[in-house]
Amino acid sequence: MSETYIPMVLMIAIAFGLGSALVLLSVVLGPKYPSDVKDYPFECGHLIDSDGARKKHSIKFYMIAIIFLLFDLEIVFMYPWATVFREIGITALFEMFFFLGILVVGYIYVWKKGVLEWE
Amino acid sequence: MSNNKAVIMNLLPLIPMFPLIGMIINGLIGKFLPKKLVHLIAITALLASFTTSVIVVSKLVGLPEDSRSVSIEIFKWINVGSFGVSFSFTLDQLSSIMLLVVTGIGGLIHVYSVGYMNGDKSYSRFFTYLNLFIFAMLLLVLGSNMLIMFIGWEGVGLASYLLIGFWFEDSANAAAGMKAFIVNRIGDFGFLIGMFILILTIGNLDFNSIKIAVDSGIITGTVATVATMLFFVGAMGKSAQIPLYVWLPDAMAGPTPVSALIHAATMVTAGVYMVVRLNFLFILAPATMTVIALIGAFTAFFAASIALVQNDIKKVLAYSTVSQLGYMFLGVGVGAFGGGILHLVTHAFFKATLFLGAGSVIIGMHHNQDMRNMGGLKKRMPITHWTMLIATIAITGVLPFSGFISKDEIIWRAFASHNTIIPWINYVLWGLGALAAMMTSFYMWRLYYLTFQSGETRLKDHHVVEHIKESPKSMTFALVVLSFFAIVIGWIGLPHLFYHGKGIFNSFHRWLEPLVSESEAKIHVVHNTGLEWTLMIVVSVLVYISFFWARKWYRKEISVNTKIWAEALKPIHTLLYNKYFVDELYYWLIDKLILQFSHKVLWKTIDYIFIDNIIINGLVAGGSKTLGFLVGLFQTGKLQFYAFVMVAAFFFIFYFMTL
Amino acid sequence: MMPIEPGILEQLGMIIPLLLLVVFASSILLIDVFAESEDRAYLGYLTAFFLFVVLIFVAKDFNNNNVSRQIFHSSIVIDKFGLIFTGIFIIAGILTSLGSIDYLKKYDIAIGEFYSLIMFAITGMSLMVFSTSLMTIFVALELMSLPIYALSGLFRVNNRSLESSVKYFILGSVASSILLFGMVLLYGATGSVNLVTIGNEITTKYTNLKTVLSSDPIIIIGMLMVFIGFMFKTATAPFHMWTPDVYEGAPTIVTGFMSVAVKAAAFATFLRVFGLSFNNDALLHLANGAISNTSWIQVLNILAIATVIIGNLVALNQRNVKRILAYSAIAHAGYLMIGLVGYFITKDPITYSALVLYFLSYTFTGMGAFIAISIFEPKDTNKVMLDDLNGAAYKKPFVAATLAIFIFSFAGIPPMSGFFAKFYLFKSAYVNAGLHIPVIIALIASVFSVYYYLRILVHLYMKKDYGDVDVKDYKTTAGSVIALSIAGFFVLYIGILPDQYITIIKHSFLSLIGG
Repeated sequence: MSETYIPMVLMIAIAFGLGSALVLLSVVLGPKYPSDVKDYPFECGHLIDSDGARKKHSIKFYMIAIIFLLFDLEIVFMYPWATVFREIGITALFEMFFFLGILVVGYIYVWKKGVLEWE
Repeated sequence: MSNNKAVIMNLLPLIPMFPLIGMIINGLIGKFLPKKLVHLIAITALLASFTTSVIVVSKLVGLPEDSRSVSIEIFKWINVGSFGVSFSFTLDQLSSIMLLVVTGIGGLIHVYSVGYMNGDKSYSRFFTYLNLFIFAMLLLVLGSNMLIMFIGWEGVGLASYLLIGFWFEDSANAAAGMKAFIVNRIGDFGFLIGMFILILTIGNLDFNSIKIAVDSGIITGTVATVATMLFFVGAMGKSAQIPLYVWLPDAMAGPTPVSALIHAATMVTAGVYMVVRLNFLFILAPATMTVIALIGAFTAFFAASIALVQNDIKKVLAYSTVSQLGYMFLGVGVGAFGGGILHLVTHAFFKATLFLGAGSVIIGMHHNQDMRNMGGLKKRMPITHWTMLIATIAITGVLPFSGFISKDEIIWRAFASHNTIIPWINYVLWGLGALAAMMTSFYMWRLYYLTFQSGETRLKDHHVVEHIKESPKSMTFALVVLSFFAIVIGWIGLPHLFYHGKGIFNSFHRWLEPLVSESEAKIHVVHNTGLEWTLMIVVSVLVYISFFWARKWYRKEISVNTKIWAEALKPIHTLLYNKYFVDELYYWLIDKLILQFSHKVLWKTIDYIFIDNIIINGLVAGGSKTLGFLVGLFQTGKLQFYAFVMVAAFFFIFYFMTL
Repeated sequence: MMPIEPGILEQLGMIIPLLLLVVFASSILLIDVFAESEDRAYLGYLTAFFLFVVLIFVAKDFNNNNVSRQIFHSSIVIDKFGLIFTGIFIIAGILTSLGSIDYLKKYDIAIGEFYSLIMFAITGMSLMVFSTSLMTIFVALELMSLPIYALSGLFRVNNRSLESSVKYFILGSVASSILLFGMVLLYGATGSVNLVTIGNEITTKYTNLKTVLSSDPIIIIGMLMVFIGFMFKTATAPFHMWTPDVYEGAPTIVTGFMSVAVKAAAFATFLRVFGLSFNNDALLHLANGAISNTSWIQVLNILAIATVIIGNLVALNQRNVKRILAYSAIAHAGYLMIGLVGYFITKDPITYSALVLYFLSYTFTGMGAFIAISIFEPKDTNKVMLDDLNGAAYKKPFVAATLAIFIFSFAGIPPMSGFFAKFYLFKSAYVNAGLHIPVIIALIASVFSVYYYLRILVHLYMKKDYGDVDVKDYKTTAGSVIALSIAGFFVLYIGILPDQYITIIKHSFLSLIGG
């Protein structure tokens, strides 16, 4: 059994070794000038204030992000479809229509729910 | 020919369907319907059922003799491994007779009930129950395997319970209902075990399969004996035989039409029907047959003797019913299956007449049932009087009324059939039968004279006396029709002494022949025309003697002479009047012995201390709950832990698999 | 070896039920956003109607479909096995949508998404049982799971509901990734995602080249990981840990749907995958020292026994009715696992029909019980303690009576369907498959189960103090009554006349792909 897995074990070892080596190197070699601002916990998009970490974020932020992701992926799916469209023919067209149809339903839903309005 | 068969197959499922529909309609919305519509629905259902029955039976007659058995499967019901039961009906010679009796008499009693129950506040409930009863009874009669029969068997038991306790506001009625139910359960227990034995032996409950198994010798004598004994226990309960007869007299607490329909004409004869249905099985077990004959004869005798002294008009008829059922079992017990069924049919007609007549009297007397208060109703209720007189003559066994014909056959066969186990037993059976016939004559004429003759009514309340009048038309109609049949129905089965050759007058036995002749042939019967004539005359003389005796005692006011007799016979009278103290004996047995034993020993000691506290609460509950608690500790609610368990389990299983 | 596929239109015609489900789910979503009124009760009835329409199509397909054909590049197959289970999911969906109307009203939640999520979940389940490809299975599994995650967090303001949703989501993701990794390994070992091809590959390797395995445990790891993915969804020990917490926190009606439909879907797919890919005696009973000393059958048996014991024992100590039913659901998963193992051993129509009949019975019983419990649930608590049920039977005799029917069916008391289903399942596992020890343990455990089942009825009927629950909270409208009547009727009907169902199920066995 062993021979087959030697490359895999090697790969795991290299990945693990490389990752830890890089972190270690930056700790050892990197210059350190600590300041208050640098020690402050970092959160993307807003400042951490005295309310603590349990402060509620605006739901809109996540909504927009998720919807962006969804429709972005839809486009991603359409690229490979476009390349094989000629080979599959009319069937592919129907399939894509169905797929888009479902997405349009989702889009209408999102719109009517008011997710797209920021205010 | 095949056309006939097709018609039967199409119509047969409809017969029980009609009362079922009637029951559902009346049961669901009957409360909101006007009374007229309620009884119209119920009676129409029965009429439709009866008409269909007549059609299918006439089609059955049209079939050649050897193919007069038509089965139809409604659906496959249970199919587990090798054991299967289908929900199917069979129409053959036997079930066709029962079909006509049940729907015919049932229909008349429905009509009668319109008058009798008029004014009752639970009018629709009554008709719902009646239709339920007819439905269940039809299942019992038509079912082509023992399980369908058992459903009907339990169904009629349920209907009977509901109807005995119909006026449940009175706790005595409710108690009578429960008594009937519990006593019947004892019998059903036997029936069930019997079925289990059959399933174990042949894996099937179909009547045809049982017959085939009997013919091919799969069912041996021992199995047949055990199974039939158990089935007979069931029959004892349902058909009120010693020692399980105690519920039937109490069942008279129900409305009188119910007593006539369920507790005289149809349901209680189910046991007899079952024995005849399985005649090929019973005939394999001479021991069971002997027991049946003996119990039948003793029941006939004892119940008749109790009936001699009862004062409640319905009680007399109740014990009379028990006694007549005894005759039927005596008949089937000595192998006279046809005779037993003939007596079942004739009895259904004359006993229904008697009960309905009694009901008419009770209505007339404003719900006074004590015969000592009656008298001279002949003039006030002429139709009731004449019909009751006819039925009385029929039941006491006077030629040419129906009772004579069927009863004579049974008594003769009791004498003439040879018993292989106890050779001399036929003398005992004949003696008991003849004495019971004599007593039957006495108590029936006593009932007749006390009620209809012997001067003016002895009721104290003169206000009521003035209002005694004939019952409404719906009631008298049923009485007249039934009493007509009480005269003539026996003529279809005249004994061969009177009638030879083919024709209407012995068509009954020829009709049943294909079903029972094989079994009947296995019993050796003495053929001696002279002896048969002699015994018939002897029994008839006994019957006439007691008729004159009763006439002398009860025709006029209760005479001084009678009172002297009564003084002399006081101990016997007390014994009989209290029904041999059987109820008290049972009560003592159950209350003092069984209940005390179960309370003190079984419950307080064994169950409560030992099982409950030590075993269940201590070992089992404690152990399992602790174990459950320990396992529950793993349920920490922590997500990480759950995920950890999953992954750990993966490695664990992997380890075991590839170790 | 790719079978010739019918034309695209014909293929679409074969999946009409699935298409309809998607269309109806989308329409519910649209109706919901465009509707003016605040009342959403009609959506429940509409969903039930839609699902009923789909059920008719499924039934029609079931009657017409005599040849099972693989379609869409062998990624799905329409056979009677899948159709029967689709029917079961749809029935569960109908009961859920009818029973949810009162429940959602009680919590003042007027959201139509509930219904479209239910329908999407059903779509996923149906697609999953039709799948014959690992990819389709995974997509369908996620299509089933995501709506359920959302549904268990339906009460956004209730901490328990949120906790349930998050726990289910995270653990579900773990299970999904294990499943996915298993699929990857299988693909790596056999070079195909098609279940049939995988099955052929494995058969070749095991029959001709036994030694290959000793140097190549990938298939075993892959199989095990796929199994774990399904066992997680079916709540088989030790992958059941999420069940009590999630079932307790999720809205009661969703719990019912989860415990019935999701479990059935996972079991059915388990059966399908096993039958198609791992249906190999050498693989199943492999217990020699060369490769492994424990066979699959033994492993699954031990897990089944553990599930039965854990489910029944822990339930004894619970006082929260939803938790009792959650553990009871685990116990039932154990019974089903025994039936499934029995089927793996015998592969005959009897054990098969016993298993499917159990699902049918369990669908009506489980849905009915949860609907009834949801009616008795005190407002805004999302929690039903045993004491909350005290004397409830005197306020709602009908609901209590139906609940009693379902509880008796759970406990396996005749003539309820639960009795016959359990009897048939145990009998076939004992007699046909020879699983003596598991069945005996399950029988003993189900004796214990009667204790906690009947305890519910004791509180319902025998405790007279009504507690401080307001009568007004026990609101029932037509929807619940219809759902309870349907479920109660079928529990009795299947219990008394199971024969015709067994016939139908046995019929479906003939066309089972990979049977």
